[in-house]
Amino acid sequence: MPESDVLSAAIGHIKYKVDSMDRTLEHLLLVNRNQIMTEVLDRFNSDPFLVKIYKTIDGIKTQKEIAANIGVSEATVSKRLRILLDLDLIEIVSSTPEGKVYQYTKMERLFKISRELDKLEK
Amino acid sequence: MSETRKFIISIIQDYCNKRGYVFESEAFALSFGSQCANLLSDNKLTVDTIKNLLKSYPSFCSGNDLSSEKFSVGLMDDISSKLHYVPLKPELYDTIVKFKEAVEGTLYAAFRVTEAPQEETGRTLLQAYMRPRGFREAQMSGGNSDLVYPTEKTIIETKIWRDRERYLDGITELCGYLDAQGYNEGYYVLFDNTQAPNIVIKEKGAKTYDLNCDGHTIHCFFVNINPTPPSKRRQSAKKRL
Repeated sequence: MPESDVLSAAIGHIKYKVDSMDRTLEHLLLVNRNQIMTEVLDRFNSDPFLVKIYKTIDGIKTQKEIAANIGVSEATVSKRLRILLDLDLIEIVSSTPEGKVYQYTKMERLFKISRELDKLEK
Repeated sequence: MSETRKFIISIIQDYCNKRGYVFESEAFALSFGSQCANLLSDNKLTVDTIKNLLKSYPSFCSGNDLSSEKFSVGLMDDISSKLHYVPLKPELYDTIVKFKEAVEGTLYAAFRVTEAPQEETGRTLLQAYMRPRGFREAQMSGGNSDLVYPTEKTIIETKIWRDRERYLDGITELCGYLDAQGYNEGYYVLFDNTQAPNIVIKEKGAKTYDLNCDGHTIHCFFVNINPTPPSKRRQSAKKRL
């Protein structure tokens, strides 16, 4: 059997396994939703800038543009972006000379964090 | 795709994944890995050629907050150990020229860890820079500020620039060590914390020059460890005029 057929089959199998693990992970996250959300919302409650910066993330604005949009320094934004990255709530989508651009991770899709933050603000 | 090329790509993928350099890492490993494989087959893969290649991947580097020196040294170590590859050692003189550029570019920050710049810092930085480039045999003689490289038949003296007298003392000192070892050639690396050109640089008209002392050739390098920030360069130049 040519090497490419063997490789295609192996890659297909690996993809299936990875997708399966992904689904299991999502299920585990949802099962632990309350605990995870308590921890995440505690972080947001203690830092109003964190909320504003999280809600400004759109996969388009750079760090500099986020700072200008909110009216804070880049250092303020940078520190909070580090926190959001550590919490796995955002990820880098591109890096250009103008700066890095971030988007939400699957955590936003699973836990609707933006919606929860809107409720907090009300 | 050759087996070596595939293996190098997998080494790079592992290297990036283990260190959390995941942004654009798949595309990077494929493209960068192929280029590394080509260099390896020509026996030209070294820390410096890896650093040079990295310049073509600004998005990967900035997205992963990479230090190109640290990345290149670590990757070269990994490839060397897994492929039993020994890179060609570069010329010592060229290596010190590149070291000077590296310190003046980013590494000068190491001198700000202590209140005043220390000779120990300069010596350690130089050793750390040279070791992964194949210059592994540095010995220190009796706690002095010199590094002896027997396979290169040379000694490198490192000093913090203070004044002309101590600069001249250092040259005499180095010549004494060279005599003791029977070497003809030495290197004198002075780390200069002043922002304006010092009296010796003004005299020589250069920061890098050679001189002859008691029959020894001494290659002198003044390395600026207190660069003027770009925003203040115009004002600084006006003051000097």
